[in-house]
Amino acid sequence: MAMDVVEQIRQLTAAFDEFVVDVGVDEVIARGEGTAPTGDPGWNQSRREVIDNGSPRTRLGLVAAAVLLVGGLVGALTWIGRGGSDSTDSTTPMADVVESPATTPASDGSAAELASPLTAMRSRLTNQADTELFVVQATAGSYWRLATLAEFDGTTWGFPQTPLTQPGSPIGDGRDLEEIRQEVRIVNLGGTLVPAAADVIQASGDDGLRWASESQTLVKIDRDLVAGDVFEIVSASPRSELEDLQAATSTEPGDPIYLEVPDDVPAPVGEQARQVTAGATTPFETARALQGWFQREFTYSLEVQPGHGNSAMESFLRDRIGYSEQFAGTYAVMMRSLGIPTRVAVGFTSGVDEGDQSYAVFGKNAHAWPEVWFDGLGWVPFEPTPGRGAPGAGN
Amino acid sequence: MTDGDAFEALVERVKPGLLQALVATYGPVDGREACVDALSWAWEHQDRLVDVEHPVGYLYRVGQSATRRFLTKPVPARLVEILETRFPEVEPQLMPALSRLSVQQRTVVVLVHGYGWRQAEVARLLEINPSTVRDYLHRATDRLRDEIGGSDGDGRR
Repeated sequence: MAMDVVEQIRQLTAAFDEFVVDVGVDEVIARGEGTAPTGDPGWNQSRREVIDNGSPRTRLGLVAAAVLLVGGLVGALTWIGRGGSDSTDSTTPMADVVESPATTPASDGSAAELASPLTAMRSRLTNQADTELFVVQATAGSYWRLATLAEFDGTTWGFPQTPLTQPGSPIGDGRDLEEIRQEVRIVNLGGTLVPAAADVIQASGDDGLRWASESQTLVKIDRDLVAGDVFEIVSASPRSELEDLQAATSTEPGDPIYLEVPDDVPAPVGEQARQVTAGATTPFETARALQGWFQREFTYSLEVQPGHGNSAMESFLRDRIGYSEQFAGTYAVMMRSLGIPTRVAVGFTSGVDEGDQSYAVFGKNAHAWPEVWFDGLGWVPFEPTPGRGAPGAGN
Repeated sequence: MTDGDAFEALVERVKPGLLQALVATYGPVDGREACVDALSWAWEHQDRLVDVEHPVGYLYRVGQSATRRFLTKPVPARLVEILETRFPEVEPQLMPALSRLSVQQRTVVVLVHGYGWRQAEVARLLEINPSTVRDYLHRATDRLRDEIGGSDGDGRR
């Protein structure tokens, strides 16, 4: 009989202790002076900025240099640009923002949120369900998105580890753009990610705001959000007519990551995906078929174990009960297994319409949903979670 | 005491726990790298650490990086050799199974079962409730038992 796992772990750490060369002060100081290599180039890069600049404002030199500075003066809006050749923003990976130690190490909550925004959502749904997190004055209601996640490693959906290739042609080219102007006022929202309707094209607030375009994330890099923070944001997305969606192909999202699933995704996930969408002939029909299946056959509940990794997906498909974390994550993995580029968005539903163009958003409005790529139309949100109308084209 | 002496004393105090914590989270390769990175940051920012009550926890967070993952493959040849010759009863599937746990569950289970930390110490490191640590510990251990096999001593699996 195999040795018990507790004892195996003890032996494994003993093996680690033999393997790991002790860390000496000289080596530490040499790395601090930038004279020794590090295994994590992104970390070292941002650390160099710290050594070279020192002042808090330029501490995240890598990010500041690479990303278009957003706003600065209250009321002054800066054109961020949209993906494609005309954009003046550069594609700063969230991985660089996440891994550089900021002026102070992020609070445990914001560090956890950046490591896995999808996992961090649960505590908003449960612990903060009736807490007002933020209020949006907006010209129209929308899902308020915090981030999009492109990488699934079998355990979590997260920000991609390496920069992503952007799509070749600007999306929404020649189409009507639906614009939403928002003023987001923070009440009790923690962390560093600023919620906004898809896709942000202008934003202002204060100096610490950055736009990570490839993850479509608006992030405070100097500190966590605090009550009273106000951000003025303009978002625009192409109005997608039904016939455009029905005719669209789904082949050029720019980066291959949007089709990648780890080798160890359980076989039932792909099998179920093929079974459910067998009759669909276009990507849009496939996306709608899968969405409809989840909405009809599954039950919404928060009384399930958190998690959206491989074994959680297996249980989810078997028991058919869960909340948006599982619906969004599983839908996205299934769509990728069918060869259709998909990613996971995390954020909030529109919240309580208070009238007068004001939306109050509570912890219970925390939400995750999948976005499917359609050539020429961009990322289109779908809604597999039962009990909700679809945010956009899925309707 | 010169700056260098004070720093050396700090490293002496902090490194054992910090290295174990980061190896528990990121494995022996990235964990060591994270430890050197965090301590080199500490060298640059000694003033920040003056009033910090729990420097191991503070530097543990500094060492976090979204691009680091728990080591699975390729396992360095030297580690394979150590395991095969000195610790042959460690299942080869244990490391992949550990990598599949959540970051926090893995950190808890390796620190408690592997490095012998008390649950309260892990709770302080991760800034979570001791009851959460206990919960993670049980769930992760059960899951590893399912995946790796091995009894809990009472013949139950």
